Amino acid sequence: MSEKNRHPDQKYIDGLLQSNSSVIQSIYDKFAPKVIHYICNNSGDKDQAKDIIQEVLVVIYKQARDKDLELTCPFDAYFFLLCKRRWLNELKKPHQKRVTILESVVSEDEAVEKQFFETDLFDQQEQLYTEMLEKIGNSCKELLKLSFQLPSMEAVAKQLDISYGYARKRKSLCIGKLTELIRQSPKFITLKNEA
Amino acid sequence: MKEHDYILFEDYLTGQLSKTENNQFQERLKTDNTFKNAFDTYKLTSDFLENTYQKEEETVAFQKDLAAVSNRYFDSTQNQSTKSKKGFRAWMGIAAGILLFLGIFISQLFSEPQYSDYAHYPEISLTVRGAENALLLEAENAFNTKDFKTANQLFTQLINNDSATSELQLYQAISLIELKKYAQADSILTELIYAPSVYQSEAKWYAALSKLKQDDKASCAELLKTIPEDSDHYKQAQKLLKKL
Repeated sequence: MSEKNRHPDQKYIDGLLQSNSSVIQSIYDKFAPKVIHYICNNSGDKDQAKDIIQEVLVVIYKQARDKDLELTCPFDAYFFLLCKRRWLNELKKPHQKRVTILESVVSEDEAVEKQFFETDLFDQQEQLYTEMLEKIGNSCKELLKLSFQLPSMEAVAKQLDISYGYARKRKSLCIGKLTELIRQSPKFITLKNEA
Repeated sequence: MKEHDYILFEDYLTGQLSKTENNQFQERLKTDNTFKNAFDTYKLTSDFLENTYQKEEETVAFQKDLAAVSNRYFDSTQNQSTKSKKGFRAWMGIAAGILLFLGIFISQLFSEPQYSDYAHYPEISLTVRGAENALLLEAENAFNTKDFKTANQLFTQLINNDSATSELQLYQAISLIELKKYAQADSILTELIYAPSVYQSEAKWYAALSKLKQDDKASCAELLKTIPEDSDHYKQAQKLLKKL
């Protein structure tokens, strides 16, 4: 993306990426009140607003870090839409009985809509992958965790007391198993069509 | 996909294939759609695992820092309703503050910069609403009542109990500066300056003040220069730099 397409509010994304306290503080000061007001007026309370804001900021942080998120629209509208969507999803969950609103999350502004859509897709993919990771079994999970945290597969083999060749084979097959679970999930097909 | 396909994907991604095998693999990606789709998902999955596990510490550090700002923000909005009742007392406080400030300002015009001129840390609030942690509360009280010896002991205990956060480390460092245990304070602050956290700039500021208290003006100035413009301490840092 060219520099000129980047919105000046990219500073908030960069601030999150650097864990910059004053930037994070200014995000709260400027943008949290609107979200809190919205959630408190739609069957929620301050504590729930606090969680939603925190979760959305983590998603933005991860997208910025892992996918080079570049902002092309005002942060305000983009952030509010993400919080709103997350809150409406929360209300749809079965344990929530107080659903009183039914509205879709859309923005009139095309740039905001596009930016929101990308982050939302990233978030849903992350959720799907995390959900499926829980299903592959502990031994696979342990091996994968070590494979990505230790400096080499030799170190993984040593730690698990298995041969180097077997460790490498297991790594491929465990990722393969996770890939299969993801590909078979109905949510994956929906997300693929959306992307 | 078969087992050997996944092994092949992994070998390709980790650069284990020979040049010929590599070319064959890339050719197959172009011609075999099912193979390509499976490979694309495998690669996305592998990237996801890499981001999740390799950057786990970074994510946790960010979440901790974010929670600290969030707690502060929500605690202060919670307190706003009770604050208005204290309005009168606050105004009296401000009036007294202005008098004090004038006094300090006049005296500073004729004096060298001192640690005590700059070390104005606010009351700290470590306990989260609803959560009960007696040790945290004790540490918070000790720090706020300037009983730095007790505060330091409690911070050490908390940090040893595996609840080390950048925030606790920062306050422990401030306590140590007050107790003139500079080596310990400077070592904690250096650690904070180089770790990703929301307290990096704060740590730089207090590390500079520690040097000022030790009368090491050169190191103090060096540290002040590293405080970024977006930091809350930037203006103070620039003013102090001029005086030095």
